[in-house]
Amino acid sequence: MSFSLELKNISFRYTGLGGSERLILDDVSLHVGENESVALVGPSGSGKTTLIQHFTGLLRPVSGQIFYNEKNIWDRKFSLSKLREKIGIVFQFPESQLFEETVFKDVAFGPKNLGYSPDEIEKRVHEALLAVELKPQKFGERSPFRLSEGEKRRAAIAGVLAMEPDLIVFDEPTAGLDPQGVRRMADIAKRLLDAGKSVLVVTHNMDFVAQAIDRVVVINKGKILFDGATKALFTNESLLDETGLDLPVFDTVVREMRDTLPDVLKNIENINELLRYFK
Amino acid sequence: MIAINNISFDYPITDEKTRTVLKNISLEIKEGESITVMGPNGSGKTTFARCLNGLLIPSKGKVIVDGLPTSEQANLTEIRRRVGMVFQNPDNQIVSATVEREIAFGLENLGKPYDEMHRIVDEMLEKFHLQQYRKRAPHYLSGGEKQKLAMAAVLAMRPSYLILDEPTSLLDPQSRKDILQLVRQFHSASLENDNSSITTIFITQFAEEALSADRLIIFYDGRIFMDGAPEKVFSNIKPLLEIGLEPPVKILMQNLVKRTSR
Repeated sequence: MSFSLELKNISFRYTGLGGSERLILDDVSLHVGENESVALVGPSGSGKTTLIQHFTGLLRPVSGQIFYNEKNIWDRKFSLSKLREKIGIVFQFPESQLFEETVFKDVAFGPKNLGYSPDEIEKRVHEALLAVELKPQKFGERSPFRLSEGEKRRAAIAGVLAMEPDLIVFDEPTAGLDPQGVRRMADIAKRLLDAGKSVLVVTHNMDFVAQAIDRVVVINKGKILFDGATKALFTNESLLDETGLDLPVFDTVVREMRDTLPDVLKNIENINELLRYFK
Repeated sequence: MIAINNISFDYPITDEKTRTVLKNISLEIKEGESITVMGPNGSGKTTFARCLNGLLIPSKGKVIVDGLPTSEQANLTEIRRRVGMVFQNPDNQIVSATVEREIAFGLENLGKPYDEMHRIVDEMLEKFHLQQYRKRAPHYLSGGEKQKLAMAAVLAMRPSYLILDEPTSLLDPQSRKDILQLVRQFHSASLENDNSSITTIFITQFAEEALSADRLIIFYDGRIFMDGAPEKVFSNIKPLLEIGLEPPVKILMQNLVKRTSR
């Protein structure tokens, strides 16, 4: 299962009413390899969602090339529908796309359309539901519309996982989730990574990034300003300032309180360790 | 004042079964208050918010907005004029073809004179930093920009009460700070002018955002779990952690510092 997605010098612009133009991506290059975890961060309007829409050919760049396993995805012989099996995108508020009578049918929709056998479909749905922590026996036959909001989101994610993609792209997966929901989403991402998948997450939630993601790509005004280890970004204060990015809340507070902290507390490294003191 | 008298709300699960999402809630929201509402997913926050402007009518009990019960159909137009609502996902409320028309939409429905409408639209575009997009179609905006537009369109109508259901969940840190500051500004600036005070009810999952409110209400399992000044509520660290909420990191750290220095 080799996986490589490469964007080379991508530019994209929207044309608005009356021919007005807005440059959204400006000469962006990015490589996502096998079993990588990447966060794509940047201010609202920086081009994050537009960029991920290029991954599967939902948008076509005005210039530049995109390669999946060394093959140009805009080549005439290239099958975009095959690519969309290999790269699954979970859009913002994916729960709004649920539509079937039961959770099972909803998750099965993709593999069924691809013509897999009933046994294969069953197996894929089962595994996808387990991966998002929804017990198949308990949730399979329930209506997706009568789940809690957090459960709905996970059911929608299972629908993407049932396609067995190599790269799963999440657009703002933690929006509206409570702290436990955020942690659960981090666990889901980690589980996918353990299974050998690649994960790319568009997010503003740096606490989530700190919990689950190794590499961060910072994009601002359509240009990539940083691409490196999560830890390296968190120590790059000038870049954080310049792009208006926050540290995880934990790091911000600890930085503020650094001088007043007694020595025994100086070795607490993250929110999980802090919470342990209150158990 | 919004008076909430002993309300319950049932959602259907199957044709026979229902799930009770709000359980005998009573409270008063006074004019000029700034309230934050927190609670785990599924605790009833959004259902509660939707009962306040009559989008949902409680199964039991009554919600009374400035003397008008939401249970009477005839009151709903006036209630929704007074109680503005910004949803979590702006795609659920934006209806117009351009940014400036979206802000003008509610004002037109209220029958505002042309000149005044223009003045308010300009003011809102400026306050929310949307001037450069005024002629653009809303679906070309980013998620965060759309959220600002949704807020601008609701605030343009000068509601007496403003309900914000997790409006910052899609925003980058800077936009989040901007929105919070705008909410605070609309809340406090209006206090100087008694006739048009905006009472804010702000639902969030970010504990840090609750600290600036006068009052913090915590929902859990369809009931009010705590209700009081934010610092006081957050000092109950263990009970909050037990229901899956986390007080602000700063309060946790300060508590730990105190404990270890003893």
